[in-house]
Amino acid sequence: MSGLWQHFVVYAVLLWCLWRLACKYAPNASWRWRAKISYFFESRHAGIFKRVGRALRPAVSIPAGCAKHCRSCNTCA
Amino acid sequence: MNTLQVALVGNPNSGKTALFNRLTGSRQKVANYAGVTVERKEGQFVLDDRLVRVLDLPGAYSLNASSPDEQITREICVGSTDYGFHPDLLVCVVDATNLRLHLRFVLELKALGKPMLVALNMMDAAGKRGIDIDIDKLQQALGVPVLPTVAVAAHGADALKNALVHDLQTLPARDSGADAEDAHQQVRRILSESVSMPRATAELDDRLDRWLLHPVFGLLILFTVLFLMFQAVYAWAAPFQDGISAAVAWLSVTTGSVLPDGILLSLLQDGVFAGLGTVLEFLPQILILFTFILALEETGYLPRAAFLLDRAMFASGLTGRSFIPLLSSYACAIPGIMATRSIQDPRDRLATIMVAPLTTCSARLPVYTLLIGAFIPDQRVLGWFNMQGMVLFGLYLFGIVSVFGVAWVMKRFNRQQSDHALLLELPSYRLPNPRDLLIGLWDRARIFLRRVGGIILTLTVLLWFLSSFPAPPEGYSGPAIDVSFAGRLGHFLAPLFAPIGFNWQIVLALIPGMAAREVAVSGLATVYALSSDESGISQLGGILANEWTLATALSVLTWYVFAPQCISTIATIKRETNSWKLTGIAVFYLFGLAYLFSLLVYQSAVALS
Repeated sequence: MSGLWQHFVVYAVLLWCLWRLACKYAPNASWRWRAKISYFFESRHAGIFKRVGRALRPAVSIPAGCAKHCRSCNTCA
Repeated sequence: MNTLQVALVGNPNSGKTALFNRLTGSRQKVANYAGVTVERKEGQFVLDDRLVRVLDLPGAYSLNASSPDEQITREICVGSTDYGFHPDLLVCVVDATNLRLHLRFVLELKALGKPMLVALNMMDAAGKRGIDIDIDKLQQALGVPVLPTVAVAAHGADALKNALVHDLQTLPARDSGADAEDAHQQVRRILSESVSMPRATAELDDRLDRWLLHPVFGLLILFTVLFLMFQAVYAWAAPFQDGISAAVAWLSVTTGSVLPDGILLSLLQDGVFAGLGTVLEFLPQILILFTFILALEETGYLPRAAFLLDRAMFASGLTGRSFIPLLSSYACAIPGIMATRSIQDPRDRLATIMVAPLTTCSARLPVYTLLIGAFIPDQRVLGWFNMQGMVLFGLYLFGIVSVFGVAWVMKRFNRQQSDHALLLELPSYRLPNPRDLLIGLWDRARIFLRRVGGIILTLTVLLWFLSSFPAPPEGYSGPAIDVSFAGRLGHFLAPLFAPIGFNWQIVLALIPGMAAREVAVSGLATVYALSSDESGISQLGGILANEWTLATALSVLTWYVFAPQCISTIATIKRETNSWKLTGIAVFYLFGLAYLFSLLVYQSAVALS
């Protein structure tokens, strides 16, 4: 594997980690960002972009609490 | 598809959650003591094209709610619209072995005039005790359908399931006219008509309680049980830990032979395998500890322990009611803090929330066992006892003493003493159900592995990045990590922690460790892996034994007894107290105590050595 590919994989992993961290500790902000990105793609004409947008569309947010599976401690899982 | 909404209600510890799990296929926590469920939980099942939504409600002794969890039950039963669930049917779950207590709540619910049925749970236990219940007569006397169930048996809820779907589709609302007869009298009359009780229903329970609730022998037995539990954690886990360690090392070496040297290999070897592998090794110890805790929960011994400790807890400013929330905190402080909703007195509740983070949650176990393994010799004491297990027991005791100590100090500040006497229902002893035990263990393993693959992996990768970049300038001869972002941050903060003996690597590991305590272990593994010249994974315990002094190790252990290294716990305190001020006080006093005691321990250890 070339050095360029290695850097590409590592930075992709890093981005994914940052995104997960944002989802955990800033759920509202990350939800809004995801909704914006999804809307950006879905409003394009090309079908592929629409599909990407639909895939990125965030789920309806759920308030925290044991009954609503906030997943902060995972005991409700 | 037709939908039926059903709410499971009843006295605490009547088996509602076990029945809920049986009906919906869920895996909610069940235990043999009152107050396990403090929030409503929802599930559903489909049978013959009929969708049944089931709501498991916190247990309540009456509809006159006196605690936040009972409030939820009351509001849903009387038809509040705030929860988005309007039950078509109330299923009142009653313990067949304790009808005298449970039937009072049935009568109270019946007076609401809503469609309801009674699930007569634990019929197997009633049969074993010689309690003979005439279901038809009971049904007649109550005026509502009664169905026998055994929630812990494989097909124990089939009759209820079928009845919900087929027989009770159009159960009418009943007349809510209150009976003139007093509830106590009614219960007595119903019992005399439909139930024949043996003379001694709980002879074995009484015999066991004579010893287990004895003020002296009871406490001795309690401490012996806890002591043996921690001995087992060390005695039994070693072969499994060695296996996991060998597997991770093999994976690391194999990856090294497949991938060329470079940034990706460093990420995998120094970040993922070194960091996560070290944390994964503690899974066997966590599971062994929880095998004991879950088994004790199932037997019904834990409420007795609460009863035994009530006097000590009251002297320190807590009550026996705080015991169950504090016990839950041994798994994780978050459900423990939430379980304080079952405490009626707001002062007691706040005191319990404040001290709950001091109990030794399972996330501390990797830190404790890593440092004990590295610094405490694996020797026998008195020929039988493992010294490492004794030190672990000592750390847990230290946590318990801290809980009492802090509660006592809080009592000094707030002299308005609670006058709530402890009223505790002591459940019957029973053998642990292997299914529930295995579900509990599987859940613990899943929670741990999810944390490893989730927050711990995420933070370990980020820490690896911060410890690897920027690369050192050409000709730099020291460890590359010294010039990285993380290295600079660690060196910058190190003077603040120097009086308590922490080096910059420890300080660095504490930062991502704020998200979850175990991250500090993976963080240390990553930082030391990047600091060493050797590539690949090596035993973190061995590295620490060489790099740290005993004084530093003791100081770190003391820090972890007190420090609130868990953002989720802090967020839960905020949510449950609804006060930034109280949350701030909790964080400040916990960090303050951590620093103060670490300073005392470190400086004393240095002076003595």
